[in-house]
Amino acid sequence: MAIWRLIKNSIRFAFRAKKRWVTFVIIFALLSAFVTLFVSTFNGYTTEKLMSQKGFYIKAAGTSENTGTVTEQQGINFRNDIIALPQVEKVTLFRYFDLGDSIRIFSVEPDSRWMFLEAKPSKIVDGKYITKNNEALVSLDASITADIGNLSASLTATLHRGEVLSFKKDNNELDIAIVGEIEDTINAPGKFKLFVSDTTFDQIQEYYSDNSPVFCYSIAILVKGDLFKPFNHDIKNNIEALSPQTSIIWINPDDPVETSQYGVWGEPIVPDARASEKQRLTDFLYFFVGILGGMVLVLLYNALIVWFRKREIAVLRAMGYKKREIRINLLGESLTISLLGFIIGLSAMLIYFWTQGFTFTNQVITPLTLLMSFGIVVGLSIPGLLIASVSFTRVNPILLFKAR
Amino acid sequence: MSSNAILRCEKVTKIYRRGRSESVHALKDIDLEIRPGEIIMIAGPSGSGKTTLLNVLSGLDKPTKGKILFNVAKASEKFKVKGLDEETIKKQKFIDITQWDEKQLTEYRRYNVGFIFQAWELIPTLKAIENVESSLYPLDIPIGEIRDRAKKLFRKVQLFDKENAFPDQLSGGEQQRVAICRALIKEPKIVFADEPTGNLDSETGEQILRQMKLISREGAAVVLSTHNLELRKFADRVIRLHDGQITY
Repeated sequence: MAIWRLIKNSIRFAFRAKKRWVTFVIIFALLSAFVTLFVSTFNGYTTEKLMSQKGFYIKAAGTSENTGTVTEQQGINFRNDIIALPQVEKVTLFRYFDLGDSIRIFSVEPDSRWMFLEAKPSKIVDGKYITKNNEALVSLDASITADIGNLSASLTATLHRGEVLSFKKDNNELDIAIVGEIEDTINAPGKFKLFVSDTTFDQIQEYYSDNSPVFCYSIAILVKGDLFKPFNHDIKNNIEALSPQTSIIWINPDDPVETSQYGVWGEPIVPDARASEKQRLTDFLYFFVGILGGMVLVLLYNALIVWFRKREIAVLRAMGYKKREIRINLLGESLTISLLGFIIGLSAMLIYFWTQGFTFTNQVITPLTLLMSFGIVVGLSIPGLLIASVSFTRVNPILLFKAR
Repeated sequence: MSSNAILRCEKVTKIYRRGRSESVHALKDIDLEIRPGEIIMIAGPSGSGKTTLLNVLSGLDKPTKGKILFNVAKASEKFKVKGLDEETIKKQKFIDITQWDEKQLTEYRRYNVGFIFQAWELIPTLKAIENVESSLYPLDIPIGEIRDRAKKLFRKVQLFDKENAFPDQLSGGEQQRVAICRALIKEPKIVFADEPTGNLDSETGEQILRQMKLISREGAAVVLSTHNLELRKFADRVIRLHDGQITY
């Protein structure tokens, strides 16, 4: 009962401090926005920056509407040889096959979604990424043409998020839910593109396509090395060790032995290892400076709140408030201000992300991002005030007996 | 020693150190007895030790020497002295508060002491009535009862329609009356008032002292400091301090 009265009182302290609380709400709003941005940068290393910092990407040569230059088996041969290299951490194959004349189906692995450059989560325009079998992404505004049999005509319909695509053959039926629409950057004009998990891909290919041949669109390779260690050179060393001129990754299109074994591939797209390392170091520096700045600001605010409330603290102590009760009063005020600032700043940042086309699904903003910025802006108020409260225990009520 | 006293000080001395060698005797061997229901006026010029005496009596500061004996038999019912069982309290009755630690002194002030400051010291972010109620917020008293007590006090000091005003919307006299209500709401045994009329014109000052007189009639001892001897007519006893010593 008494504790709720103290909390209520602390909220009054916060809201009725007029100019001061408005100033600090604005400061905390800005802080929340920046911290969210910094944490998002940090989060980006588990997502968008994977391929640009530590990934090789090789596209099959000449893939277009009707041609495939690398068969599935050639792609698998290539992958198996690459994965055996000591510098390599992970390899993914981006496969496809054509279902009839107008549908092209691609396989993606939800666990490695950021390695499929043409079908990565940040390319989603509407909806979310697939997370399980029997879900699919479609290319944006893609229309699907169906043969309606005896009428000797075809029917065209556009598929959108929320709709279900049903495959039927004999007694087999497979329903695939369209969970998102993705920006179309694959050079295969006129094709309706469907992106499904590996299992669903194999299922459709086996049961509904009369075993249409499967081709490889691209291969993505991640080298070993931790992106979160900015001072470690493993990534740079591994990228340089696998440079196209010295390794198996470079397939000479004029060498018939190599091309028969691996197919015809384009030149690898390799990140500039030194530039990547520099960029990573800069990003991490910004991240730590930003987070550190946020922490300092929160701690400073809590020290200031004790300073601003010096006379009030003295009054409360003279009245017989225990230190714990004064702490509740100050903490309530500090948390109210920081929480309000956090909500405003975060809302502003979410609007910004939204205008930039980022969503929760692409993992740049995640519950972890929000939790971290909440922890820094609001959660740190608790230890911040406890540290600051060392100074309020020194506030001597005797000062009240001295006239202002 | 009168068993009727609520507070008694014996040979209280307070010495402040200034630098390594210089020391100032703010109080010298003060003997004083405070009885319930009386108004004691501590008069004296600036620097005579009035404020220091209030500080040590109220437990905000500790004397360098001497004893300040509090009559626990007359303490608030809710007041418990940590570390002392009831049997000891009954036997001892007077306990030296200079031996208490910070927590015990906080309890002493929480239940037995009310303060009225020269600059009122109302909390600017709280309304007048919330300022008064805030004395009781940490105590386990239902909010309805707290509100009733506050309203009753507002009527008593004739602060009608000012309950929801913020301190900066009140005149000096009104603020001082709110401060009186804040000191009284917890029904203290002793009220310490430091120059309570110092910032008021003489007419408002006299009004405030009349209200203090009413307080004392309800049983609380009032110890107030002033440098204005014209106000002595409101006091039961006047103690003159000069250079930290009682001169009577």
